[in-house]
Amino acid sequence: MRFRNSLHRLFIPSHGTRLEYLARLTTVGVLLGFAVALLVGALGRFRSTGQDVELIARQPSAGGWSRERIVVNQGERVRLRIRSEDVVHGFAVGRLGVEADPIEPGKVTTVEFVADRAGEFPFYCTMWCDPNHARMRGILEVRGPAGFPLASSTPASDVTLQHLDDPRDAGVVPQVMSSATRGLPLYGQRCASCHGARAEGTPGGPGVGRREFLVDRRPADVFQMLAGATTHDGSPRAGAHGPGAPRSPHAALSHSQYVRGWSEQDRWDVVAALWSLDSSAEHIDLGRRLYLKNCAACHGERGRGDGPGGKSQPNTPANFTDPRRMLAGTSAIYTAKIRRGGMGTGMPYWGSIFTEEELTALVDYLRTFSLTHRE
Amino acid sequence: MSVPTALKPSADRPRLELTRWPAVRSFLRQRALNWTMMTVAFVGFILAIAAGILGTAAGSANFGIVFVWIVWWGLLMGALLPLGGRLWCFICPIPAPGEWLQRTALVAPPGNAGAAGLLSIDDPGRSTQRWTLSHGWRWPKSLRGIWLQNVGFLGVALFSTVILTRPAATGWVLLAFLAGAVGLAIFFERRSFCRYVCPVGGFIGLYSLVAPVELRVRDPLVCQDHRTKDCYLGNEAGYGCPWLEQPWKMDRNAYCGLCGECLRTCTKDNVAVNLRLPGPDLLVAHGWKLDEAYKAFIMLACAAIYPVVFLGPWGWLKAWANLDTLGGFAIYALGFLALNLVAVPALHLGMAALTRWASGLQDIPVRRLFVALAYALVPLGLGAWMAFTVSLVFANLSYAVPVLSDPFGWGWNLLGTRDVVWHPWLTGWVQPIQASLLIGGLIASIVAADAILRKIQHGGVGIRGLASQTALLTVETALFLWLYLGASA
Repeated sequence: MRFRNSLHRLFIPSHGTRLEYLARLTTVGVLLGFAVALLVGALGRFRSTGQDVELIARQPSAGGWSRERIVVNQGERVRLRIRSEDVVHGFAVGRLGVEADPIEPGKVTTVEFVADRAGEFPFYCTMWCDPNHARMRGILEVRGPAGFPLASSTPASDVTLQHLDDPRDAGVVPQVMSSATRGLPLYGQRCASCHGARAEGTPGGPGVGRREFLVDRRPADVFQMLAGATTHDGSPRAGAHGPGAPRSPHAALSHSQYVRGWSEQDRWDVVAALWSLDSSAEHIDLGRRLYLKNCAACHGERGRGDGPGGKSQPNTPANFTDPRRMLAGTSAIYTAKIRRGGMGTGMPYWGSIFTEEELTALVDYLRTFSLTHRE
Repeated sequence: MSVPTALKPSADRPRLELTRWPAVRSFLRQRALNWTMMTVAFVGFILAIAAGILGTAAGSANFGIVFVWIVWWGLLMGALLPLGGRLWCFICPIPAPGEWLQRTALVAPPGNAGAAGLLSIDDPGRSTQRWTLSHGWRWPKSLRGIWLQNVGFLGVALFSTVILTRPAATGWVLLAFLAGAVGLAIFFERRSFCRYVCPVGGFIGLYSLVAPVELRVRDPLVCQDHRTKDCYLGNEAGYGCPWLEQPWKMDRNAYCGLCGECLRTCTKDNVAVNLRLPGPDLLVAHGWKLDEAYKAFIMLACAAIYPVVFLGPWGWLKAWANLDTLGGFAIYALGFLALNLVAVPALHLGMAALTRWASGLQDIPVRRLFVALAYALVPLGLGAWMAFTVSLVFANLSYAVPVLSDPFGWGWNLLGTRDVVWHPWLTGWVQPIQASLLIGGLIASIVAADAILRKIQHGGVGIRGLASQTALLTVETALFLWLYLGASA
């Protein structure tokens, strides 16, 4: 009875009625208004499309990006307001060149761009933030009027996946790190007359410095070729630059005769020179920036596989300064590995993020850890 | 009935009575005043809980963290407490829902029919109707005092690195406070939660002893002849003291929540709000209690631990306190509790014994000196906490501007201030202010120690007796100065 009376009094004031009614109405009104505002705001927060997009960055162990997919229409100006809830993150949209970093906790970082290409573009964190940093990805879906084809990743021309993880050993490596700066004069003296000043190729000799020529060749094989042991395509010498080669105006001398007097180190320096000729300083710099932003956390700033992020990975990250390993791999293999990822090693896939230009720049930069680029 | 000496009107207790002005008196007697303040605070409180639990996990962008631990804390330690004593308790929203349930009213007085059950506890004959939802039980005698508040404060302080930096933790802790206050209001009389449990109320009560504001009866002799004791029991104009205080006996601020009910219920117009010189409550000898002494030690120890953990350069300690590893936290917790409950009290016990020996107070028990001299720590402790607050608030207050527009960190821009960038304020003033607060606290504490010793031993204990206390307080102040101006600079 007492309880019932009390409940009754909760709703029907017994005394001081006017002021009490006013207070109750005000209190209930304020609380209800608050609840409604909260509900409306919360619903607005979870809207899935729009050009003004709030994005919250959290460490992958705490959920990663607050949105796994952002949907916009082609041609729209997109305004992303990004904030971190924990540590410093970075933000980039692969293949669109959209970047914003650092994303510092408690601060709003705004990035604006026009979504001018239809497709699905991965956005990802560009600062190592967590052992699972590489999983911090989402998709920016740009809807075009006629559908939105997936951004494709072109497979390496002649690399099959099963070759990617084959053990590699160059067998022979330089005593000191090879140098394009030292190798270029040597190339100029002995090779340029046939292969061209920039090894771009002439009627008298193939373009041994061209990307298309080198992409499937191992530096160790080119070294052997310069030693006269193999042909340009890596097969045992029986031609122009080796014993038994058919005679022609430019093939009259064996390769060993052309490079007579070169030490092993000279030949390695020329190898470095060849790998540098089709790659500009700007190209290498692009690769360096991509490497520092995306790779250095695990592979180390100097490519030694000693980055802090690597300690938490299932496999020790590759050491790009190890010549036995690096001089035994082709650029096509490295491109394919970056594109595909490490398949259980902790190495993320980058195929849907980097453009072809970015991939080649990155691989060329990786080469500089074992073949010093020209200064 | 004898009247305590401290209550007798006296020329040596200068006061400026604020309520002698009719406008002030009338304003403070408005029944809607408490409800208005509490409702505004309640909305902010609910917002803090909601933002803490539902909003962004980035503390600097979350209303729960920014407005509780920076704005409210800054307001409390920078103004409300040092200037108004328990003024916050008058506004505090935590007991509001419980009190409203107890009274089944927000504003209305008990009315003619009785004081809604509250009266029945003390005078069953006066109340014929019990409309309250509360059982109105009396708080167990064994749990009276502020020991529970000490334990609660230690608990919150121990986990403060977690609570102060994780919005969800703040949200749940605030919700627990609210649930605790409502739950206790349903079972126990009046504001038992505020009086015996609230972890914040404990230190507010202690530091309100030196506040320059007090609520007192004008003339205790008038109360002596007034048999109905409306200020305690309530009448048709208002409720009996929610804080279970008997205003006619009140000579300390410690447990007066400044709610003003006694201003409304006193039929003799004998209750006043005064401005005064700070500090006289420290000398009220019958108020010297071990639980309050321990509160003084805990507050002093925590005032040293907080700058070490929050402002200091010792990242490993912060990691321990932040629960990064259970083992590290266990070590931190052990050290934290040992410092609070053993080391600091033991140091002061030793110094109390030294003071006793040096001043020849052989007939005074060490325990009495130990407890009494703990009250000398109140000014220094308050100064140290204010110094810590200066660091916290000046550096972080600008977070409040964008958070006002976007309390949940969901991208709202309610007031157009969402994009205001954080910027520390008045950085050049922080250390001079901190030094002034600490040195001011030291001087006030030495004066208080001297006054307490004089109170114990009429005529004072001489320079030897005060020397040990002065040395201890000076060393402690030097430590604080080092922490604020040296280690964390």
